[in-house]
Amino acid sequence: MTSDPIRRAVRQLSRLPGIGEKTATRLVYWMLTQPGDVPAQLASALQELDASITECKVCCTLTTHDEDPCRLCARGDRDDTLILVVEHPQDVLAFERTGEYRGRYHVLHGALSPLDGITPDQLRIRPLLERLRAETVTEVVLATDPNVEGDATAMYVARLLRPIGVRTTRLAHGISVGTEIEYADTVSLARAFEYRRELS
Amino acid sequence: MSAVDLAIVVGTIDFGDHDRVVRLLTADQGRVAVMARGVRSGRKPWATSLQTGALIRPELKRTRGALPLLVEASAQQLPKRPREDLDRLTALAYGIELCSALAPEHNEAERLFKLACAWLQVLEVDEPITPSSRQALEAKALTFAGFTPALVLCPICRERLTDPCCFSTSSGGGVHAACAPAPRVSADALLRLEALRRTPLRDTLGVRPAAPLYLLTDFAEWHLGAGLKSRPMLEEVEGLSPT
Repeated sequence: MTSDPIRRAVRQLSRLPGIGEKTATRLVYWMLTQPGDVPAQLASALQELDASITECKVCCTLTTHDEDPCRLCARGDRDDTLILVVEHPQDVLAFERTGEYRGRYHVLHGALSPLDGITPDQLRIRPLLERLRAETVTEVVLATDPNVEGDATAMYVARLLRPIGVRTTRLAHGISVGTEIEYADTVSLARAFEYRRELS
Repeated sequence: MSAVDLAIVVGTIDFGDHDRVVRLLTADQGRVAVMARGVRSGRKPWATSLQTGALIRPELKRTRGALPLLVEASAQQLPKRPREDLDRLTALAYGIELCSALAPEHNEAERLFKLACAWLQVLEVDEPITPSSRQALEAKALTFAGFTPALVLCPICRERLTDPCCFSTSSGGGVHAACAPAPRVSADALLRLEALRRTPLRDTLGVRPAAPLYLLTDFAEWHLGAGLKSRPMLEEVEGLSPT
């Protein structure tokens, strides 16, 4: 028989993605058996998150109230003519790690998923269109995930951008660098062949 | 659960850090859900076949868990043109959801499965997809599920439908305005829907759709007792489309 506070904590933790009830129970008991004030520190960190995090008023990524626009939007050394559209804030970090991209970002906060009832009004598509009208953007790169939802989102955004006249591109698809063709999955291999390019 | 020969992937739900629950539409078992372990971590090359609208040959294994385990899946047909065309992609999601929602769980649904397969084929042809094909799909799916809409004879007086007509979902479809008060619809539109119902899906491309465009969508949702999740997107995209 578990007490109410424990049950409540388990219920809240098991709402997190990737955490089932068993894992949540393990986590709660682990926290309770640690020396010091682990639950209090965790609670304080979560409260601070809730109080201080907001969406950047330019690119919609997550930032703090003190830094709005976010650090990347505030930087003057980025290419203002290029916007990379991604699904999640984590995707911005992935592109920043490459060190190859020097343009601006726009975060949609998800992807269209007709079967899950996720429609365009639930994504940050309108702020993107407003940016394109206000800024001097010449190319929008759609970097949504290479799955059905990502494709749907990219095609939908591309359709909305057509009347604006901005160049719209999509990330290339293909096999991962460093893998062996023998072990590549058939779908990725077929895509890589389809989107092959000429060598100069 | 008995063996499944072919299945259409209806959708997936992430489970834990590495797994997915895969919803399938099959001929023998209707709607089924299976557990696919480790398919999100990139270690299983066949995982790329688990995309909405893919026709797969699943290898299933009984486990002690609540769901059968998907050990492997070989792709028989993957959606190609829908991945490049928003109209087709939303039509695919809608068609798969409709057929799957109307199919029983763990019970034979051969006609709905074959209809969904035919829909996947239609979405790969060169001609543009028009709402008429979607209406034909709806009429057929409702018929195969046992909810045939009345489009020729009034279900109340059993006489042939003539104007002024109405469409009453609770009465079973088209009715004479004098028989039951409901939103008005023309007898010609009902006959056009009946013609679409009897026409092979492939031959409905380019045919003028019957108005109102979502009459049978409403009818299906009424019978299902819930809205179809893909409908808002379908309506939005059909509204954006030049057709």
